[in-house]
Amino acid sequence: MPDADSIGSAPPSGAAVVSGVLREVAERLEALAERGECGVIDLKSLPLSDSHLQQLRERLGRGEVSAQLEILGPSEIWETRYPGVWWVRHLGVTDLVAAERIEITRVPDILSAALPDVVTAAQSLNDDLALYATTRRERTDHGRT
Amino acid sequence: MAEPETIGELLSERGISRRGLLKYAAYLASLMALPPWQSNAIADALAAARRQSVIWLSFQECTGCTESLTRSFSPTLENLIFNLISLDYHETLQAVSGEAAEQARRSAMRDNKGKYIVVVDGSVPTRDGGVYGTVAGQSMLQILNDTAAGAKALIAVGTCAAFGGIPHAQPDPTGAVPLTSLIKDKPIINISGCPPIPEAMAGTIAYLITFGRLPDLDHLNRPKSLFGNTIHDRCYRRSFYDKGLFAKSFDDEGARRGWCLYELGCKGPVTYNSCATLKWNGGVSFPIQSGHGCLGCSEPNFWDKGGFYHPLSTPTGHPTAAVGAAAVAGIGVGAVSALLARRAKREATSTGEKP
Repeated sequence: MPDADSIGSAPPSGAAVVSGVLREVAERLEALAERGECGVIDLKSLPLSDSHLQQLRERLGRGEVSAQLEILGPSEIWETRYPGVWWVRHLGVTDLVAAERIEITRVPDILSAALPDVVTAAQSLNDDLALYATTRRERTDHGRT
Repeated sequence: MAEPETIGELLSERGISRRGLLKYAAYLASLMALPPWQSNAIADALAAARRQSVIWLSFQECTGCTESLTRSFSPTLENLIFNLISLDYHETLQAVSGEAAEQARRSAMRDNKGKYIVVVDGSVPTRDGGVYGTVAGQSMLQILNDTAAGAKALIAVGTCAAFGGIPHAQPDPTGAVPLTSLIKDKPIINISGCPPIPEAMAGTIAYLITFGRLPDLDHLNRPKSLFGNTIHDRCYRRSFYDKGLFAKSFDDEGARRGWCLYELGCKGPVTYNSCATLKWNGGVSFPIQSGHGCLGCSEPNFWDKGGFYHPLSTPTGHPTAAVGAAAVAGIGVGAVSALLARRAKREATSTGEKP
């Protein structure tokens, strides 16, 4: 059960969290630049209102790259104006945000094709080519008769 | 074609790429308060895991918990959970009935001994040998004891299974008890709520599959990631509480302006749950956002704690009275904030600034 102190004390203000997040992004970007260390900040776990998120987006801006993904619902990813800092937003049911994070990395992993998918794709493309060749041969044979 | 052995193979067969798992892992990490950089490892672990056998037992309940889990999702990200589990027994959802259904439960218990998870919704009647609840000629008490014996862990979904809930409310004619009163030798996770938030149920099951262990639990066996804060802690009306601005009735000026519902009986300050952040119906709203105070449905004995519309500081004859006093101290703080806010407004107005 909460005590009097926990009930009476207010959570940190959103503005304070916004500057805290920006400082963390700066630290992690330095770590990426100097040691190649990647980092992620989960924005949904922080007490940020929509207007604070908007402030954060404006402070980070938009850079050269953006991508729209369609995987179990839409996702949007864009590089901020600081290369290596990416805003990643995954939407779920009726376009509500399921996950929203800042990734500090050269390229977010979700943009790369994963090896198991590449293996499946190679098999699938070969199957398609074989099917195409068979269909074409059958059509040719049918034309001759 | 061979049956897929792992979740990764199954998803691939269903046309869901590894990116789908990465997206789900990002969602799960956020939901369960896991370190966000672990999402790649979570996706890998899920891809390599086998589908988790789940036996769902429904006892003294209203089916609201099942409704919550199955009807609140659209076929997108959040229902990926149904690809992660093999729901081997669920009276309401399974196609078979009668002896074939009971056979399905026994087969799952035999084939997955020591590995299956038992999900229970509803409390268990124990009075008079448990005769007030029977399924297929067996008492619920007996079914629970038999099924729990070979389980890896149990999840009590809903306040009835977690704390006894409404069947346990006075005068409790059936001697209804929660799982923790009966099963002492197995890990039990409580996902309380009436009903629980669907994401809380799905997230906990996904956590178990991914890590093969229980998440961190609070003193009432609830995952700390989902029950670590009170509704009040994360309520968007909290700033009104801190300023001492309260609605006095459901149609007064304060209610229309969205002020705090504390004086209308809101139990947010003593209720641990994620309604204020995860919300309901796919994140659309939650009771306080819809203009009604929190009922405290995820806490033990919420039905017997006095009126839903009595403010917490009203003596109820229950242990919450102590918390009520603490909440009054909170109002004291809020009143000072309000005074400061009024003074700031006066000063700002006198200097021509907007408040």
